Amino acid sequence: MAETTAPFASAAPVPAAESRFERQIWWFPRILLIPTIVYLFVMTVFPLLYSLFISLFRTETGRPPVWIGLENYGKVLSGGEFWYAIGITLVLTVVAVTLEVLFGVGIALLLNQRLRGMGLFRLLVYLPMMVSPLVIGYFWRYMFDGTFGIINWVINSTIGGLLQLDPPQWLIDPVLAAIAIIVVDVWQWTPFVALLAAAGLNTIPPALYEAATLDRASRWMQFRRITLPFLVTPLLVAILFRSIDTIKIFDSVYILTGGGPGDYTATLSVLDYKVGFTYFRVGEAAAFSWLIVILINIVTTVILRLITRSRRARLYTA
Amino acid sequence: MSTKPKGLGRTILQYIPVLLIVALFFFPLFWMFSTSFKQRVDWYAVPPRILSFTPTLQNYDQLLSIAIVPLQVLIDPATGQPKINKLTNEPQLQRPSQVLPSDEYRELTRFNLFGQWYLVGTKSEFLRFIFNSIVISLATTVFSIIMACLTAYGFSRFPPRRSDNILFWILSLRMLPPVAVIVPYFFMFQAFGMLDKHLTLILVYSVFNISFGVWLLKGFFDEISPELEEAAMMDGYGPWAVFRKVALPLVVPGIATVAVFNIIQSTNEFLLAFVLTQNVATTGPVALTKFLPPTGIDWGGISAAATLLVAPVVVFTILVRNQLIRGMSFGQLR
Amino acid sequence: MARVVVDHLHVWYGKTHAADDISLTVDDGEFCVFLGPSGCGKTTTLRAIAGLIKPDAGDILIDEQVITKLYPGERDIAMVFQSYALYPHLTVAKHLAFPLEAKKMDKATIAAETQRIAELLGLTDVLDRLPRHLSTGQAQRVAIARALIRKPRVLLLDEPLNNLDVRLKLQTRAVLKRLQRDLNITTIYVTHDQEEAQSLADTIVVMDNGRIQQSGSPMHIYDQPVNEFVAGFIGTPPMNFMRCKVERTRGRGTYLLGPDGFELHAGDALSAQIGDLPDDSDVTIGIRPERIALHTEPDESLPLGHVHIVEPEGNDLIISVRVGNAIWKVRATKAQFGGRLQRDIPVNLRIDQSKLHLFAPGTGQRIEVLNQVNLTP
Repeated sequence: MAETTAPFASAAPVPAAESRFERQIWWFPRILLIPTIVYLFVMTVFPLLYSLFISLFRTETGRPPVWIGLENYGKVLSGGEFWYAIGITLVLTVVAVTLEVLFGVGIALLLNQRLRGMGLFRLLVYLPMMVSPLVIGYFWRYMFDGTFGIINWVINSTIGGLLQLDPPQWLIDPVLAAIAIIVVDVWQWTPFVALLAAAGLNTIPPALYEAATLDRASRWMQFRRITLPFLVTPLLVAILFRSIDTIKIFDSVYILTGGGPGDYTATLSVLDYKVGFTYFRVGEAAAFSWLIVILINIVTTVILRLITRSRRARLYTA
Repeated sequence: MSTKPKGLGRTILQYIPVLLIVALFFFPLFWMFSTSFKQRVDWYAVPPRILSFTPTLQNYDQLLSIAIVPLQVLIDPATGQPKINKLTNEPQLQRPSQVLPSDEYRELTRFNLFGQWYLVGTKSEFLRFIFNSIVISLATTVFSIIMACLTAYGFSRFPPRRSDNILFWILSLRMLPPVAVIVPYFFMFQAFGMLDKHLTLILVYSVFNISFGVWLLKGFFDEISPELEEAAMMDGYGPWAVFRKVALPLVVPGIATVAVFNIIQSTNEFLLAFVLTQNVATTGPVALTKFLPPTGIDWGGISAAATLLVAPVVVFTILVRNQLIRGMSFGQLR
Repeated sequence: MARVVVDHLHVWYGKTHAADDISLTVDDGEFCVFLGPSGCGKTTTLRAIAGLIKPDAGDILIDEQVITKLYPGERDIAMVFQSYALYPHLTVAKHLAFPLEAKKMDKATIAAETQRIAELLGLTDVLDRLPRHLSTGQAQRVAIARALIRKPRVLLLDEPLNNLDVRLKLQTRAVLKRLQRDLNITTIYVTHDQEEAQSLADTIVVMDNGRIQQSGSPMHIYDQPVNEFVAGFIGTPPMNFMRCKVERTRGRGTYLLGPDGFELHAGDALSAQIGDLPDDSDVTIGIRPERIALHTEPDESLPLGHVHIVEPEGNDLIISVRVGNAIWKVRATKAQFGGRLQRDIPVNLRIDQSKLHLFAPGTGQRIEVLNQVNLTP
């Protein structure tokens, strides 16, 4: 019979048994986490600190480093190219991401239909984002070439011929070059947005559409009220990643235009690279890098705040 | 979704926009593929010749030709004995130029099999770059996956205090612009004499690969019901055995996804490889920048090289098409 | 001997006191059931015994050995989880071999033991299947087999029958009871289903809010519940309650008056139970459905009610009666009333007062308990 009364009441109980797993239990979590954290710390924090050091001191071989404070930062911030680079990068980002979102949603909707061979089509559409941006850069450079590029041939034989226009020199004219870069980025990454949007579409329970049809809601109404809300989160995620990646953009710009003509399409990363490795103004390049990091952090925080705010809002209205 | 049987016209109408989109996204890749078979003349042809050109394999030949020939020991005609190298005390071997099929070939490396030396020659360094890419991506992937598995499990089952912050920091490394680190990395690795070495790129790529792996795998580990691990504990297994025998086998799909993405990201990376390597350890994408003979950009060569670089990626994409969503959106943002 | 002792166990989850000074003993070979609603602390206590939770205070002892700090796998205890916790990537045979491999037994012994336990639980046909190809019943048995193959000192079960449909539940219940008797293994079983508890247990420990409310044999707990909670938790349909006031002013003895004109005249035994309680004091009365008889002929000495619904249950009828401000359930046989009970007809309730319980309204303690020093089980 079980008792609920006095605790175990014999003479002093045998001392507590020692666990042979005791040591493993102590080591195990530490082995899991410490090596990676140390590795990542060494590989990222040190270089960043070193970069900070380079930006705050004048380092010349054979001479001891000289403290120059924020002089490099001043040079970068006062140089027109920096602000121009911010401008062109932001323009690029905003235009490209917007187009990617619009087209991405459209493509996701198109590819969501149940037609034969859709699996293959989806695969083909998703290919561009898996390829090295550098390779793509070279490719589009070939296609955008003013003389033998296929794009100009298409233009000339259709609209251009009709309107008697000169063949556009994509990679030479500053505005056209910027457009070219946007086209390449949109081409490569719209599938990414489409992929995320498609995933979002898959989470919509079909019962919602059925109920809406019974209630005689129009297709447009269904889109606005059912489809769009489910797309908000994946699209915000897509916008976050695409914005950050476009601000960081390097490979395709470097190959398409090299930042040119002059520095007209020098996005932040490209300009930074040039300052550091073409002009060898190392201190400035380091300062520049830090400014880029700060900028990206700000953008990330802002977008993340937007995401959490939209999540919270939806929780209240859902 | 309507279930009425559709008319043929309606079906065609539905296919048209889809086909247009697919063509739009697929065309540049196709164009690159077809250009790789063109002769120099056709690269610059206006109007561009989409199908009406004479195909050639010379571009691929240029890139891929490889010759493996045995190197014979040089015999002194006077004595009939092998000539000995005074410095190394070893028999002298034939010079590469004596054995390679043509003077388009240059030595890539040599190796010794069962006492017989062989010379490997190629027409271009491209194969070496491919080899580098393969070695580096595999090495970084293996290393990163091991680290990521351990770490992701650690964060999933043994979150330390302030684990949210540490985790966020690790995951934010993905956002780090390579530009921010190329300057310090360049000087650091230069100081250690590690520029143009494979290990350098392996170490650098692993930072991003581990970050990606931790993010993805933690989600997988989180989904394993803790009761499974508790059952294993009750069955008498210590924490390490529980990890090995219960948790790991259940995240194998996640590991496969991470592996594929790591390999793809490592083979596609450009800037860091460009800055941190010269010739010895250079990888695929950087190789493309070397196609600049004085006679103008070798578009045929670039297309062929590009096709070769893209092909494995296409294969991999087919393999992971089901995991694309998970990998690309890194699971759910919290 | 595998005697389990829980000594002043305390477990906190944040601010919640999930286990509040739990002390109990389970004897060798005993089938003990922890019973209570969700969040009462029964699973917490079980997991502390298993070693999956580290207590904030208190000790667990098995056979006089303090095992509180031991890793679960070292306690020689086995557990069957509510979700069965079967490894998706292992076949049934590998499941059974798994615990033995941890002990580094040789292959031959493992194979023999696997065969033995598979025969015992009827799993010989499915040894090569993966968990996703097993029926719920088979999965259940694999979970039990995996636990038993090690011949553990103690067997713990966490609501194992929850996921089964009614028929399978009853079958498996019988299998479990038989198995436990045959193997004579000390068993602790957690459930919220009081029927299950009554059918399986040698001893039931009823818990609520992290505390033990009562422990004893199923019969004892049924007949002598120590407070309102236990009384209302055990029994199907549950005990009927009514808040009443004591009244002696009518001159004809003691009355218990309830809302809406409910009147119960206390007989001698009941009056003795009421004892010295002052007039107008509150008591809660409790009476089980099978201790009430319905009279369709009017009888003014008995409390009055109206038939609300009649629900057949096998050979019996469960009649819901509107009494006072409550709906009471009364159990009767079909033979007694056939189809004669229509809605809303008045009936009189003859209550078996020897089985009527009185509870103090504040604490819920049974008044008899309050008046007695020792309650003999």
